Amino acid sequence: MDLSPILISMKTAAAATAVTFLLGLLLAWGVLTVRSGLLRAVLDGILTIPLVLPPTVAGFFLLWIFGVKRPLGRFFFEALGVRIAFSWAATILAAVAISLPLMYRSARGAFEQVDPDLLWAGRTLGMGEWELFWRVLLPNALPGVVSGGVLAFARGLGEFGATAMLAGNIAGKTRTLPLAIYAAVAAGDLEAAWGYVAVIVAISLAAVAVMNLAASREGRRRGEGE
Amino acid sequence: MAELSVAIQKSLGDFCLDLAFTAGPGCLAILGASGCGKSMTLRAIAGIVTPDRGRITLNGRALFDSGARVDLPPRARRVGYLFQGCALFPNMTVAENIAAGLRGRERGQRAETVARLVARLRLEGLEGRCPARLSGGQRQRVALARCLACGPEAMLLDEPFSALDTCLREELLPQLRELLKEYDGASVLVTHSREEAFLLGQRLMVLDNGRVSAYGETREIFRSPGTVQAARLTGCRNLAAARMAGPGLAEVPEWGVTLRVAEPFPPGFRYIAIRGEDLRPAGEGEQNAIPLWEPEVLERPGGSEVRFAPGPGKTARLWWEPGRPPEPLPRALSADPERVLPLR
Repeated sequence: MDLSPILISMKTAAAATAVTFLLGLLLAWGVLTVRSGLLRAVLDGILTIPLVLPPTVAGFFLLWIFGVKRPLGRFFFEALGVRIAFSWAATILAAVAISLPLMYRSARGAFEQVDPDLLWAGRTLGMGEWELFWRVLLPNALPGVVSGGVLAFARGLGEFGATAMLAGNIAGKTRTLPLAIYAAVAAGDLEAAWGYVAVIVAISLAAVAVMNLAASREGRRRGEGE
Repeated sequence: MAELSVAIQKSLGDFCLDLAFTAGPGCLAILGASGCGKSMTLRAIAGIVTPDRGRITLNGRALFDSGARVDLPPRARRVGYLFQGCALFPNMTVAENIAAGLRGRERGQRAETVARLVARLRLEGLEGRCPARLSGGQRQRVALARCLACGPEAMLLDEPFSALDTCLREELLPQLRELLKEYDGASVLVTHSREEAFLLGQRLMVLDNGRVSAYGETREIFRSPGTVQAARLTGCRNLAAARMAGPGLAEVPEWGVTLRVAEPFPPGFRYIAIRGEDLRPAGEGEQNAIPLWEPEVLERPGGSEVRFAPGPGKTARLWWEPGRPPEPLPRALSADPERVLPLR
């Protein structure tokens, strides 16, 4: 069994989760501070679209944006010498695009659960918005934010459709675990497929365990006073 | 000299807040039923809601001025706000909560401020606790300490006792009274309890549906409320429509009596009120006598009350609060003309 898909998948999922986590947090916070209801609804829609589109369609759009012959793709290629489509970076890009809505929506939901009076209290105490975010909003939304991050990680790890479209299925380069499973089955190598499946199942179970742990620790902390 | 001056208007659907007052030094109590706009007033002062028009100044500094387009953000207003549910940060300990607004200060000074407030609000030994592990009273004292730590020029207290049970409230009322007495800025307390308003506010504003219904010295308003809403909110239960029946005479058809009133009739006079505790057994042929019919005696922890009809076949009911009613009950009650309140 070729171990490179495991390594590629872990690296991709880790990098994509880091980007998604920070970007999702900031976007959720940003959208919530938008005052105009219409603009907020539009932004919310745009950020949610990849969640409802079939991943192949999302991948198609990404290819259409980042293809070497497209303006943005050409800019990256000519100005920075980076070829995005069909490179390792493309696996990250595809995973981020597909997992970002999950992170964004979880973080937004978690932020909305925080008592608005806590934020107003912080403001009357002289806190700035940035300080408020790090010291009040984020710590009190942490369980929801963490579970959003875990969901995003799991989704990024399992990403298939958009990755196949944008990054292709190049062994040792862009072949992630889901693509390797597909390729192994297509080639009739069921033994390798079982191996990859076992790895994915193990990681997914670990992710669920982390999520539950975060939730129960929070539950204990809140319940202490009762 | 601490002075908070407010003159604002704000519409929200059908509701319209339109009021003007000054507070400080000392505590101004705002008394009103729920939904009368008292919390909204505090939120406007703190900068949490923006009025449509008006001006708010604190010690000469404009916090909000629609004419000059001034609208300071809450963090620049230097106004402390005690939230109804305390709004302590659950992720911080007691000491961290108190120090939450002291980010810019030097470390030693910060520790000194926290220690001073912990001692003053009797929170010793709780510094490392999380808010979830505090009792309701402790939580409120932490919230007060957190407000005071920043050295606000004004303090706004939003229903500080609404979340507490009666015992705790009795215990905390004198403490808060003491604290407000020592505090040298302006303070505004919002409440729906006349007891809290009477005990804590040197001055009182009665708010009714977004408008000022009475405003002045607390004792003066309790003595002579001036309006029906103020009379009702200050605990007056015997109210009835009335009309002038001559100089110093008011006819009250619902009670079937004509009463002598010492106070001059206000413009727009429409109602008469008598407090339950101002009624007393009437002597033979005494003026202002109200017949006592169909009495029901209701025993209360602090004394009994008598609910009665002001005559045979009358549907109106009055309350007499004599503390301990005599046996047998008198046939009629009366009130001194000074105690008969003409209202608009």
